[in-house]
Amino acid sequence: MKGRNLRFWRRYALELLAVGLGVAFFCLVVSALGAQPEALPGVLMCTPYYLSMGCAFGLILCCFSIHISYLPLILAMGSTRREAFWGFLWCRLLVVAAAAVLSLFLWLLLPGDVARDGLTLLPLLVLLMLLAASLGSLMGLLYQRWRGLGILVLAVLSGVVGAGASITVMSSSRGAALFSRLGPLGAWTAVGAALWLLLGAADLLLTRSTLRRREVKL
Amino acid sequence: MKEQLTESKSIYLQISEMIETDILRGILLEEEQVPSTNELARLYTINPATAGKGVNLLVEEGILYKKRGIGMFVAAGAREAILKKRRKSFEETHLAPLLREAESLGITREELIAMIREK
Amino acid sequence: MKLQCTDLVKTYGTLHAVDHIALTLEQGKIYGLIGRNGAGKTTLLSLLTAQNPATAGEVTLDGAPVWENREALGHLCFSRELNISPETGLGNLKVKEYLRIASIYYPHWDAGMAQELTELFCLPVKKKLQKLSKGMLSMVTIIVALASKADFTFLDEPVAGLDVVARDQFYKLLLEEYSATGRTFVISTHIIEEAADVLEEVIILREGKLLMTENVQDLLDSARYVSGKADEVDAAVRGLEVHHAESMGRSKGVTVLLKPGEAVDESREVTVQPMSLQKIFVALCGEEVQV
Repeated sequence: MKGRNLRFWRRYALELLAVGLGVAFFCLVVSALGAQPEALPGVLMCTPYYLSMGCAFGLILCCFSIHISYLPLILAMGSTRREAFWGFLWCRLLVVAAAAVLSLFLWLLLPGDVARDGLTLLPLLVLLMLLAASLGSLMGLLYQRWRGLGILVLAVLSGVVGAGASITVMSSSRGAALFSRLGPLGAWTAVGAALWLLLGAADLLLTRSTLRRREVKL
Repeated sequence: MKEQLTESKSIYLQISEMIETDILRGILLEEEQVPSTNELARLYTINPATAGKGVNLLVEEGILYKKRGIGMFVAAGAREAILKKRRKSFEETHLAPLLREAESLGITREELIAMIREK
Repeated sequence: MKLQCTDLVKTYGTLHAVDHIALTLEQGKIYGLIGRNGAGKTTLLSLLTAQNPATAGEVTLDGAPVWENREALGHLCFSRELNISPETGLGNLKVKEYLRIASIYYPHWDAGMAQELTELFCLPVKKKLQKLSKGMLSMVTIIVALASKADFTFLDEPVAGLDVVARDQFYKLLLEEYSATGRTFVISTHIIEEAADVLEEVIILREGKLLMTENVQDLLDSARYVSGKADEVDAAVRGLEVHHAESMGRSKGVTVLLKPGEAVDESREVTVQPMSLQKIFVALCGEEVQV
């Protein structure tokens, strides 16, 4: 059965990835339209940033909504809570890994400063996506308990990520430069990692315990 | 066998009676195969177990017999057996209620016999 | 294969939705689950299929607990009434998506059958669930139930929203599938009389408790409605199990459940009539009527 369960989550992961790619493509086109022909390679090299933003955005929304849509659905169809829990986790990791690998490839293949800077930022981007997933999931859990509050926080969060995305689009190649001005990269990565560990752990624990007690109401 | 089921009697009894009636009317001949329980179930939209109960009733009475692997068949002498059975139960199912009804209406035996003679 | 529960309890606060129910479901039977609204039918079905955790008691399939047991869950299917509201977030799902997910999680899923039934019902597979009528939603649950090919299939109000012709179609499909495979079906329904012919056994719930499980034909054989003048009726049914006495003026009507060997005293001036399953149910689960 494990195989079946993974089939479902893999498909869902692909859909999520498609969202990320879609957003990346959109941002790419927008940036490309406004840029000079010589600057185009530079624009291309920002694709991983767009991809990460897109995936982060998608992850927040999907991890949020999954608690009220797909999770009860697969439980209703006979999935065990254990499978649902691990499948959910696996799905997120799959998306993040795919985005990271794609970004890695792109930056390894393309020469230039932007790519080099990008590679050093990659761990942070990965953390960002993981964080987005955990946050989205936590919001989803919150929403189940307190509807209004959940929606509010989600809106705020989406706004933040959206803002981050648009900043990225606008200041694309200077993203790395921007960051380095804010402080040592290592510190940021450490903060990000700590934050993710905390929120991620909270999310996983809460998801697990609510799943166990979950009643299916379709 | 294309009668409709009524609500006033157990379905399995109706099934067995219908098979009996078909045997009497020559729709089902002796040594001929009877519709299977699944076929009966499909015909009347009833549970196969219920149809089976009706069929088994007739098997117990010797009106039908089972040929293993093939199905249910009308036993030899079934027609005679059914006629005998129905004549016997005629008294209880038709005569007794008639007499009871007549009594509650105050019709005497003589009046009743006269009524029957006139028919 | 047997699905059993012993002393099953489900409480919501002080409400005992399921109150110490012990039940054994056998392979190869069509069971009807009847009870008034709020009697605990849906809750019981949810517990039996591990969709909700029980407060106490256990559900086992051939001795192995069903809860969190993938192997056991693969033999079960609970196709429940789909209530698509904006809150559930499933409204945006297309029919074919829903069926696709079902095909992933039901190990014995028969895609051919699902396809056949979809065409038979003229179901618009590309439509979103929230755009479907109640009747079509019922059809989706029926398709999932039948195509799951699960050994124990549970249907909660499968015919809600279906018109008479569609309901008849459903019973025929059910019987056909049952005859072909011998799967166990448990159907909860309010339209008792229609389903009565199709059921082999009936499970009656009342206020969270199990009132009885009985072979339908046996129950129909043992139930009689006795009516007439009040004192005649009382005399005729002395010593017998009486339910739901209805009085009007000097006349009285009671429901009697006869045990093997018992009979109504027909020397009394009373009318003894057989009863339909629906009438028996009302007699057992309704309230006394004084006119």
